[in-house]
Amino acid sequence: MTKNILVADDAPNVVLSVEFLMKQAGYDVRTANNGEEALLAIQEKKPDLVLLDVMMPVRDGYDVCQAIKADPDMKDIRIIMLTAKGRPVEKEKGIALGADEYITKPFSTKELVEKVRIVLGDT
Amino acid sequence: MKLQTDTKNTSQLASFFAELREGFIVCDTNARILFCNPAGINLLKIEDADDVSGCSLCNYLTETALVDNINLLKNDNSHDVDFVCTSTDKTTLLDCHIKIIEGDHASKSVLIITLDKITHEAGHAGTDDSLLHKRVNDMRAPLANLRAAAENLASIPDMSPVMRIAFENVIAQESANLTENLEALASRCQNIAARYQPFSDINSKDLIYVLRHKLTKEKGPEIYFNNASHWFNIDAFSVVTILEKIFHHLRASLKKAEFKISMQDKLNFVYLDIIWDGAPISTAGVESMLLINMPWDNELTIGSVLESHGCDIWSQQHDIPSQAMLRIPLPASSKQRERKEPGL
Repeated sequence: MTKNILVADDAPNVVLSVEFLMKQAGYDVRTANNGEEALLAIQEKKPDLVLLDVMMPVRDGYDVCQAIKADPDMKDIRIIMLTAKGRPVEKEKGIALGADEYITKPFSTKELVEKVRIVLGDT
Repeated sequence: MKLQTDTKNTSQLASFFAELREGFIVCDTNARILFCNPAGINLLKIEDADDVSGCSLCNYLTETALVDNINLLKNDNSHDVDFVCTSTDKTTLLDCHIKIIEGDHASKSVLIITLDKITHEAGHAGTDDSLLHKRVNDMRAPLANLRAAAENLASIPDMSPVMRIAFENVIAQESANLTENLEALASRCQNIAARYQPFSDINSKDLIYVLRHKLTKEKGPEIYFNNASHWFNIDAFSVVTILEKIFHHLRASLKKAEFKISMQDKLNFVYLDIIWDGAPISTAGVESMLLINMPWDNELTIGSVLESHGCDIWSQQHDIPSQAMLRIPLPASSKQRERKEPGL
């Protein structure tokens, strides 16, 4: 069965690129424009993985990550944080709050696809 | 004639030291005081000024900070060292500079110590650094989009015309964004180049002494710390102020009157963990804490002060399952490993 990925980012250009990349890599893709929308999309249909921007309006990525990991029905969803926050402590914060991977922008498209495959166990 | 000149010079020197705003102290290498000017007497809160000669400076400044730094001077090739410490009554943060003047023989070497009280004048590190960091991060997203669009166009030659046009538009838009961000960054860098950085080394004990004093004075929560020695390189005044505000906020939001502080070294940071019984705070709760203003500048917040230190904070479960913590990574002193514990 095709795995499902949710891309949550408020920047349309990021969504365009990442959605395209993930579809090229063979995944089903949905998108959300902020943290609140992302949580609603997750409740509607549980994805296998969320590509989560940190700095989003309404609810930020850390908040969404914590909400996912605090919910027993959702905590097995894999999370990759995709962010412009590039300091080591910020990465550590993302991992401490439950992210499986933390990718700093700018990233290589090849690296992103590889990380997604690794996190989903598709390698 | 020579006697008259010597007397005049001595009198001029005495008058100079008496008027000096900074504390000026001369000690031997075992930290025994040989001379202390009136400002020094005042800053160190020495009650019996006449009997100060021959006393150990450790009686008036926190011993760990003093001993570690004097040992650093004795064992290292450097001739001076800067750090922040507290007076022994733990109420005042003091900016301390020690210079070693080497004599013909080790026993003739002396330490020249200058002291100055730290006030909020020094605690304005946040704004510029915070904005600089934001400007740098503002470049990451357009750069990511530019790169992804270019890589997509290059790697998929048979892309549909609609998608090709979409990615070409992304390249045009993001190039314009990057140019704009670069101009803003260049302008910010010019401002920062001339700015004073009030970062100094301070020992964990001094940091907690002053914090505890302030919290007690304001009827804040009780804090427990095991007195482990760690060296930070921080803007001490600002960090004490944000910790004070964080504790008041935690007490109000968690309804707790007691917290434990634990510290651990991690790469270039010392993790300062504030621990309590119960669950972690939500990310939204932590974010709201970051927006609390500094008392001396409405543009400065806890978040901007932390950002100027290259830090972020978060709340997570403690290793003990019934406990949670707020983790605050603060920059460690680069001299941490060189500092030695043995006494003088």
